[in-house]
Amino acid sequence: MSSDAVTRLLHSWRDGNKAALDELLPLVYTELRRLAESQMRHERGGHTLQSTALVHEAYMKLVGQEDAQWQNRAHFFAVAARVIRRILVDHARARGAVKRGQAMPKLSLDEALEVAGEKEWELVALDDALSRLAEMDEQQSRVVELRFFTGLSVEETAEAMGISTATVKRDWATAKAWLMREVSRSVS
Amino acid sequence: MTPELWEQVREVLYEALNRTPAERSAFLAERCAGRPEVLAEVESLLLAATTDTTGLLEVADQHAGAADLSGTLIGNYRLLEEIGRGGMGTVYLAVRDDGQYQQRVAVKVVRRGMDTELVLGRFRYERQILAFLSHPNIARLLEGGSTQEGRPYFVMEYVEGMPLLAYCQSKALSVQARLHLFLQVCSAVEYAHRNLIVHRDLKPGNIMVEHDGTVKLLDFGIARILLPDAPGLEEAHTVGPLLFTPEYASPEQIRGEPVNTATDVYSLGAVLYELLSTRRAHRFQDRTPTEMDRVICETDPPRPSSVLGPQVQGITRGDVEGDLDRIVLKALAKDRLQRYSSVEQFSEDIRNYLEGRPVLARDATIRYRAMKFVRRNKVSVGAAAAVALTLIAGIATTTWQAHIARTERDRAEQRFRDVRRLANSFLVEHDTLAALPGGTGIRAKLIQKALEYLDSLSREAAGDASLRQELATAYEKMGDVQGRPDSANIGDTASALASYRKSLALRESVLAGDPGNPQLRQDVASSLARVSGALKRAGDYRGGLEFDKRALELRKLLLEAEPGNRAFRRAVAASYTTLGGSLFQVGDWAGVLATRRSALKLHEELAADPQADGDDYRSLNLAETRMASIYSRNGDQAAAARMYERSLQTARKGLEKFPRHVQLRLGLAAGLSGLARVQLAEKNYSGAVANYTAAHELYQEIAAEDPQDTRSRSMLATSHYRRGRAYTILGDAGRAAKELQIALKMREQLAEADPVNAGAQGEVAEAQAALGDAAARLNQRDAAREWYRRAHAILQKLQQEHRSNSASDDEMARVTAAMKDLH
Repeated sequence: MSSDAVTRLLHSWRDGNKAALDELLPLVYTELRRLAESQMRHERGGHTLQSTALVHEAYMKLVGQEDAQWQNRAHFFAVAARVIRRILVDHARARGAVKRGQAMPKLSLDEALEVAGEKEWELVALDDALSRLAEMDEQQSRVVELRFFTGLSVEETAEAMGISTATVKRDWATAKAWLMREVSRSVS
Repeated sequence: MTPELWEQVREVLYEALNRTPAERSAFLAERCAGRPEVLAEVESLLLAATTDTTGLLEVADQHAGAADLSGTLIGNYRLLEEIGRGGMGTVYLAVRDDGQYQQRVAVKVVRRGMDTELVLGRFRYERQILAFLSHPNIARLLEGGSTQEGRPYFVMEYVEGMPLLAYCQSKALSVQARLHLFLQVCSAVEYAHRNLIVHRDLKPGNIMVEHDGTVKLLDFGIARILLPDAPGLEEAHTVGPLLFTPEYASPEQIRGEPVNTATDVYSLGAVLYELLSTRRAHRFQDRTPTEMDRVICETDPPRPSSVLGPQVQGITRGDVEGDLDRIVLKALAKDRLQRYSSVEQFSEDIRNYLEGRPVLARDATIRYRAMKFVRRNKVSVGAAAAVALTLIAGIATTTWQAHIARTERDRAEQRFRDVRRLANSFLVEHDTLAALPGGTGIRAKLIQKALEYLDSLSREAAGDASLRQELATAYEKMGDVQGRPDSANIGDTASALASYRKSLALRESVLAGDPGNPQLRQDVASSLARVSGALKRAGDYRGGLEFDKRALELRKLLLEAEPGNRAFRRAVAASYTTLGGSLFQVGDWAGVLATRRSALKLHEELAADPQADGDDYRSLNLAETRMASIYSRNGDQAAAARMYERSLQTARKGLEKFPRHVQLRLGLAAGLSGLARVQLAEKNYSGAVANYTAAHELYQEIAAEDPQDTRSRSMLATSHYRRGRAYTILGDAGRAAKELQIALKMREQLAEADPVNAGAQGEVAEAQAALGDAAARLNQRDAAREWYRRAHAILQKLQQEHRSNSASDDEMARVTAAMKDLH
C-alpha cells in the first residue's frame, strides 16, 4: 500500500466515509504489529517501548515523512488509538475466555506495551466502560482513547482533536474518576 | 447515566477535584442544592477517584508525563528542575556537580519510552545542527553524551532572561528598541541560513532576551539542513503529532509542502507582527483543521497598526503605520515569492526604516534598485567559516546555473559535483573540529581551502567572462571576511588586500573586453575603493591614494554619461571625500581643500533635490564638518565656526524629515564637538563645555541603542577623550584623568579586537599622551613620564612599521616635546 493510498483513505474518513476506517484499521494494525515485533527483536536491555513512539513510526512508514499535513496526523492518531484499543482488548478477552489452563502466547504488541499482563479483566472492563462513556459523551471517550492507548500528552491530545487543553484536562480528570469507579465495580 | 445528567455531574466533579478535600463538602452542598442525584454521583465518583484500586489508568499518566529526572545526575551535571518539554525531549536546568565550576546549564534528555531509532536519529540530528552553529545570538552547545541507560543527552548554555514579548512589555520598549532586538533575532537566523539550516519553528517562546539585552535563539528541535544529501535527513525531519506552532506557521507548512528559508521569513514576520502590535497575526476561532487552514492559507492579517491596542506601552499607532505595516505584511505574504527573498533582505529593510531610507516593501522599482545595490555592496557578516561555506555553495549554484544555460552541461555538472564534494568535506571537518578548543584555526583552514579552490577555478576561467565576474565577487567577499573589523573576522588585512587585488584584476580584465559597460565600470571602481581601504588600514596611505584617484576618474566617467543619475553623483562625491581623506593623511593640504570643496558642492546639489533622503543630508553634513575642520586647522577659527553651524543646521533639517536617522544624529554630535573644539581654541570655555556635553549625551544615547556596534563605541570613546582634553585645558585635571581613563580603556578594547588597524593603535597612544598631560598638570611627573613613554612606544612602533599617518606623526612630535619639557 503506497503512502498516497493511506493519505487518501485518511481524507476520505475525515470527510465522513466510514468504510474508509474499515480499510485503514487492518493496515495500521499490521504496521503497528510489525514495528512492535521488530523493536522487540532489536531490544536493548531494560528498555520499554512506548505506544506514542510506536504510532509515530507507524505514521512515518504508512503516510511518509513528506506529508507533514497535521490533519492527517491527527486522524491517524485517532485510528491508531482505536486499533491499539481493539488489539489489546480483543487479546485480553481471548485470554480471559481460555482463562487458566493452557497458556496463550502473548502478542508482541501488548508485550511491548506492557499494559495487559495481569490486568486483562480490568482492560475488558475498561473497554466496556469506555463504550458507555461514548454514549454519554463521544468526544470525552476519544480523549481517553488518545491519552490511554496512544499515550499522547494533554497538549498533544488537544492539538490532535482541535480542542483546548483546558477541555482535555477536564475530560481526562472526570473520565478517569468515572472509569475507575466503573472498572472497580465490575471487577469486584 | 444520561448525557444530560453526566454533563451536570462532570462540571461539579471537575470543580470539586480542583479543591482540597476539606473544602469539598461545603462546595458540594452549595452547588448541588436541589439536585440530590448530582450530589450522589459526584460523591461516589470522588471516592473512586481518591481510592483507585486498579492503577490501570495511571499507566497513561506515566506514559504522558515520563519520569521526572530532577535531582538525578547526568554526566557531570546535577539536574535541578524541568524547564521545558518538547515532542521527544525534556529540558532541565542543571549545574556542574564535580566541584569545578558553578556553571548553570540546560540539559536536554530524550524522554523515557521515546528512545526508538527514529527519535534517537532526530535527537542526534538536532545535536549535530547545534554543533554546527556558533553565534552570539544562538544558545551554544557545550557537550553531549549518553546516560547510563543509554539515552542521549546534550548540554547547552543556560539562557537566563525573559521571553521576547514579555521582555518588551515589561520594559515598555519603544518601536526602535523592539526593532533592534528583532534585528538580533534576524542575525541569528541569517547565520543559520548561511549554514544551510532552516529553523522551522520560530516563535516568541523560542526567543529569549538576557538581562543585558542580548537575544538568544533556542530550540532547533525541528530544524533542517538544506543540503539535499545531508545525513539523517530522510528519517529525521518530521516526528510528533504537530511539528510546528500554528500561530507562527507558514501556509507551506500547513499544506505540508517542502520548506525553505522563506518559511523562516514568514515566521519572523509573524513574530514581528506580535512584537509591534502585541496581537497575533493568526487568530483562530477554534483549533480545528479547517479553521487553521482558512486563517493561515487564505486570510490576510490586518495591518499591525490597525489592531494595536491602547494597552501597549511604548508604542503608538503612528509609529507602526506606513512603512512598518508594509514591512511586516511583505514578510507575511502567502505566496513565498512575494516575501523578502532572504532574512538578510528583511533585516536590511528594517535597517532602511530605522535610518530613514526608503524601504523595499514600498514598491517594485525601489525594490529593484535597492536589490541591485544590496547585491553589489552587501558585506558578509558572521563567522568566517560560515561565509566560506556559503560562498562555495553560492559559487556552486551560480556556476551551475550559468553553465547549464550555455549548454556546457557535462562540464558544469562535473564542476558542480566537485564543488559539492568540497563543501561537504568542509562540513565534515567543521563538524569534527568544532568540538575542540581553538576554533579560529579551523576558520583559517577553511578560508585557506576555499582560496585554493578559488585560485584553481580562476586559472580555468581565462576565457569565460561571467565566471570571472562571479569569481571577482567571491574574492571580494573573501576579502571582507579576512579583513572586516569585528569579532568574526580573522583580522588579516594583508590577506584581505591580496583577495581584493585578485578581485580587481579579474574585473579589470572583464572591463577591458567591454570598456563602456557601466555595471563593469562600477564594479571596478568598487574594487579600487576596497584595495585602497585595505592599503590604508595597513598604513600605506600613499599607495591607497593612487587607487582613490583611479576610482574617482572611473566614477566621473559614469556621471558624465548619465548626468541625471543621483547614485552616480553620490559616488563621485564619495570618491572626492575618500581621496581628500588620503591627501589629509599624507599632509597635502592644498589637495585636501580642493577635494573637499568639490565634494561639498556635489552634496549641496544632492541635498537640495526634492528626492533627497536622510543619507543625502548626512553626506552634506559630513562634507560641511570636514570643511570646517580644514578651516580650523588652517587657523581660520571664525570660518570654521560658521561651517560647523551650517553642518548643525543641515543635520537638524534632515532630522526634521527623518527623525530616526542614526547617522544624522551622529552628525549632529560631531558638529557640536567640532564647534566646541573651535570655542576651546577661542578660549570660550563655557560654550565649549556645553557643546561637548550635548554631544556626549548624544553619543551615549546612540551607543546604548546598539551595544555591539564597534563604530558607535569608538565614537563614544573619542567623546570621552575630547571631554578629557577640554577639562585638562580648563585646569580640572582630576576630572580630565577620569574621562581619559574611560577613553583609554574603551580604545584599548577596540584596538585589541583589531590589531592590524593602525588608527586604533594611534588612538590608544593619543589617550595615553592626554593622560600624561593631565598628570603633568597635577604635577605628577613620574606618572606623566610613564604615560608619555607608553604613547611614544606605540607611535614609534607605527612609524618603524611605516604605518603612521600625519596625525600620529604630529602626536609623536608633541609627545616627544612634552617629554623634554618634563626634564
